Amino acid sequence: MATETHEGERELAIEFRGLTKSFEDNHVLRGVDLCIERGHTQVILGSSGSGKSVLVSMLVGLLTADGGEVRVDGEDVAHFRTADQWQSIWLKTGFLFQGAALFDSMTVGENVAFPLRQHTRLGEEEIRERVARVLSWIELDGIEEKMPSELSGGMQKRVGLARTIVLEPQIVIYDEPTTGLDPLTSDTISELILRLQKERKVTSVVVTHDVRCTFLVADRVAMLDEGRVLVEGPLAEIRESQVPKLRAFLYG
Amino acid sequence: MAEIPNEERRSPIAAIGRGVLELALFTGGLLRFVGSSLRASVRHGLPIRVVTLQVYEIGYRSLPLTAIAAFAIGLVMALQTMFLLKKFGVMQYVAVGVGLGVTRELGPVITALMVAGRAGSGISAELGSMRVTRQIDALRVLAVDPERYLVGTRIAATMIALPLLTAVSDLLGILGGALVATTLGGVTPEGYLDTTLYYVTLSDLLSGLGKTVFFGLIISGVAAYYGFHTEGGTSGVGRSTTATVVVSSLMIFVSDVFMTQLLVTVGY
Repeated sequence: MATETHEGERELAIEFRGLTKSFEDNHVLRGVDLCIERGHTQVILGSSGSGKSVLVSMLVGLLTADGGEVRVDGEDVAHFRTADQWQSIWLKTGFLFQGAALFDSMTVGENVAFPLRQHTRLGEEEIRERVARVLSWIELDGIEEKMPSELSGGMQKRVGLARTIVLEPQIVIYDEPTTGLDPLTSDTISELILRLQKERKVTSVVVTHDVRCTFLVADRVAMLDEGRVLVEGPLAEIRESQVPKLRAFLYG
Repeated sequence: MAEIPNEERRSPIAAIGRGVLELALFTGGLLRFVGSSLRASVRHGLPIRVVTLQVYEIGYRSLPLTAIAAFAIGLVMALQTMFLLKKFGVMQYVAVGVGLGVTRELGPVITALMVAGRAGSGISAELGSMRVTRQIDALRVLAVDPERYLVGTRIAATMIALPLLTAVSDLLGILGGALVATTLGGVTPEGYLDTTLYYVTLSDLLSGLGKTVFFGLIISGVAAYYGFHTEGGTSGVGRSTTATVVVSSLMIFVSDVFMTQLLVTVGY
């Protein structure tokens, strides 16, 4: 049974402790320590190849850690090996992929309905309503019959988000949510991240190298560098930080 | 680990050794993959709707191709054997050659090869694209086991579709033979049918159809394995597709030899 973990006054949803991961000689994570508070938005910043996507992949079992702990709601998932062990984590965690990863053989409606059909016993009418409601929430009403290939990159991302949140997960992980999008579309995605966190009090983990998105959505920011957390703190502190690498990253 | 000197790397014995090792690793990986997909499918059941859709995709949509191939084989077999039989004055036996050849061997193997080329490559390309665009990862984090949902369903569908396709092939092969024998060989349609029904038994038919269940497992297992393990973006998808057709075709031939030997030994 998972136990709730507290660190000081903070109630933690996710903890990484001494996390290491290597791909042959490439030591991507060299001991990452990071705690993420429940109901908050944690941005994980870092340049390409800094291991930030690797880090969040371990939260959902897409990669396994070499060493250290990964705790989700107090439960150490770093040693999970079977799908049965992961099942409860998957059901309470949503993961938005960089390319949205929509099922291209299904329509938008079928994509969003997919988790409902797999994990609930809702009738078709109820499923249709839920799909329409979530599509309306991402401000893309009435596109159920379109195929993913007919949508722009930004729309695919939003539909991906709709599919991610349709089962109302408590934790939502965004892997590079704004990468490859123009600034205006990026802002739309950032606003959705913000709105979801405010309306549903989800814990959000946003992996990005987009500074604009960071400033819009973050409660706290951690910067990964050379396989470790270089700096971590509330957004206001991060903005004022004098750490040279972070300043260079944020302000060029 | 110590570096292997260049001369040794190039030596034929080292090459054979490497080949055997790669074959063993591939076979082990394939068996583990298919085994775990089948286990997951048996344990949690398969979505019938997806299996039905796949039977349609793999079976029905391959039908024109396998039908034409089987009909052509029937025509050619009759043409090839007719002139020899004519010399001995036993023209009516053309039905025996065609009937037994098609039901026991050519129907199953030709149909399997056609399905490997058309549907096997399709499965591999589809799963390969899903791998590189992370749709397989997406299934996993949506708490749906891709080995069951994608692989188990396709294996089941191919194992169902291939015997059905082969039954049609058998029929069309015999019809092809009949067409040639009646138009060019002077055999009457009734005579052809009687000879076929007399010499081609249910066990001939079933031994051929039985083999195709296993061919179906080979085609879908190999295709899904390569698709699932696609690496290197879109060019990786191309490589997986080619490997699927080559490897599954070879495995069909090799396993056919063993299965035929086994069936003959036990009296089929």
